[in-house]
Amino acid sequence: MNRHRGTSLVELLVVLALLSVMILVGAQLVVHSMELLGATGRAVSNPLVVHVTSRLRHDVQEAAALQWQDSIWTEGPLVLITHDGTYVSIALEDGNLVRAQTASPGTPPDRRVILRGVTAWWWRTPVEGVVDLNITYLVNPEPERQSSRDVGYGLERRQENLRFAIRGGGGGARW
Amino acid sequence: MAVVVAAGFLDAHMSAARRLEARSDLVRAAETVLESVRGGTLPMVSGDVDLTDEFQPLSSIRVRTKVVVTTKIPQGLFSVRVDARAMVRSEDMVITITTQVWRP
Repeated sequence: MNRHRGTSLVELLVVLALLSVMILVGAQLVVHSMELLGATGRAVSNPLVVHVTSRLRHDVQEAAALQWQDSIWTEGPLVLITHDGTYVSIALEDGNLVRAQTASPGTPPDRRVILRGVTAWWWRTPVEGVVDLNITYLVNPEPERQSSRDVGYGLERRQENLRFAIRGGGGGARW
Repeated sequence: MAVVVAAGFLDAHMSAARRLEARSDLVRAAETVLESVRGGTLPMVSGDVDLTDEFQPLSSIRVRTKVVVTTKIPQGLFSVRVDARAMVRSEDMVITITTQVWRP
């Protein structure tokens, strides 16, 4: 009787091919997941948006008063009066959120674009001394789609809702 | 085997990404509550807070917030603690911020 023992070359090649395919797919999954994690981390702590919200937080909280208040949502500029009498204006101009600070009356304001790609800017004062901000801006899409291999992708809108209490007057009820 | 291991990696990383997003939302929710208390739109009393009108999370989580107010000395000084809580992939995530408010 002639019996075959062990494995043939063809069987070995088939096993090797299967292993190669599995390793290839697995490696791609690992790479994709690493890209996803990185993209999510960048999106959550988007340095520009973090900087802008920090700037707005500082401006509003440190303000002594608003030039005018409005209890309903308005698109106009938000004008803050600081404790040393300077004016800080935040306004939407041609898709840019612009911060302008006037040191004293008659001097040209220091104007800076703090965020680009802004599609909507709203603010209100639900009660005196409290400012609600609503900013809609364009961002890259969610990381799941951002890390795909699709050719090109569109920008998405993202909305920030912020509430700050003014306390730059010092020693008042907002402290 | 490789696919199973890689899927595990992917799930772990997706979970980390969700937790990052949720943490960001919870911090913003807690800040909104604190500023509301400080500004007077919320009363200076302990209890659960409904933020439906003031805050929308960027991620798909349901945020629950709670305020704990304790009086301090001198009179008019309060310690305010805000807990923002959400379930993220079957894990209870909590962010706590404590500050003092002067309300003479």
